[in-house]
Amino acid sequence: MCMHRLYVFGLGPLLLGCLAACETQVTLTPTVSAQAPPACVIAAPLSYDGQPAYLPQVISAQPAAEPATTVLRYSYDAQYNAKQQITALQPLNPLLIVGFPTGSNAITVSGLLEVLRDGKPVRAYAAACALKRTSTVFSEGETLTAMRRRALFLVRDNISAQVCRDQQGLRALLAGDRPSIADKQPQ
Amino acid sequence: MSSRRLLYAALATGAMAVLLSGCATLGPAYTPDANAPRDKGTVYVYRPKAFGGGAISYTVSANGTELSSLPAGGYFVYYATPGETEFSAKTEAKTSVTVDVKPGQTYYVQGTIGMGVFVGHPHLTQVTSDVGAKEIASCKLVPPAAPKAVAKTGS
Repeated sequence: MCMHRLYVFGLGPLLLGCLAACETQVTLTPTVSAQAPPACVIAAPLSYDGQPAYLPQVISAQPAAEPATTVLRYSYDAQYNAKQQITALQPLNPLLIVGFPTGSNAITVSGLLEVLRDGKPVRAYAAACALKRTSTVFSEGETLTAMRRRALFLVRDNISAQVCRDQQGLRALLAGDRPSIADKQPQ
Repeated sequence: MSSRRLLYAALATGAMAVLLSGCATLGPAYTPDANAPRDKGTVYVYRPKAFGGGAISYTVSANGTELSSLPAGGYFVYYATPGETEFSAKTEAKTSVTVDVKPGQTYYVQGTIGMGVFVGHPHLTQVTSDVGAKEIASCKLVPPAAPKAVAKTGS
């Protein structure tokens, strides 16, 4: 009977804890409201040299006919942090067979959308996403490539939501400087 | 009795063969590469010597193309085309890391080995230039194998 209790109350939660640790933990800042923001598309000259898929979808790049004084600039950065070495005592750990973590992978992605006027930032929208997961002897979980891609999409969508919530202010900022900039209204 | 000795000898020979198969012959000690093309990024892929997994070697690929094996204490240089380059390796588990390559820049991809059920799991991650330059100093060049001599040609 006592052994039964040991299994149920001792090893059970331990096993659940180990299995829960295998899932990727996601932290995204800033927190935007759960309510869907109003749809919008902001058209403006754009400075961006990354993958089109990672650009906030509310941004529509508009070719600048002349040297534009107001430009949107989007940039992102990814930092990895992995701890995966075998330590001296690790092979002796009996909890490895129930999925005890053997290492961890983490990535932090930050994105920044700036409104530049004459080369100087006048408004900015930033977001950061941290993903962390642990590995076991049985599974490695998501690769860093997959985690990076997921984090870039989360940052992209977070900045899109921020821009749409602030679209009136942003449109006024863009239109005040360049009346020719055409902002498309949501359908 | 003699058959038992023969069995022990065969097992010991097999175990030694398995252990030594991971011991690759490495080339000269690390020297910074000075021949990088200006229109490409230089990526150092290295694996510091560590306590465990020293006998295991794995092959590193870039965007699906095999580049070189990566034994413990080894490194190789890869000239990558600007853009996203995915470095990957696989034993019983797969690892991959994506480097956003820009021309003229230098990057370091660190390889390690983690615990696995039957064989260690490879791990690749990008480290900062400070960490990479310090750790690669104790590594030796992995001689390019004949069929995989594309390590310096870029993608």
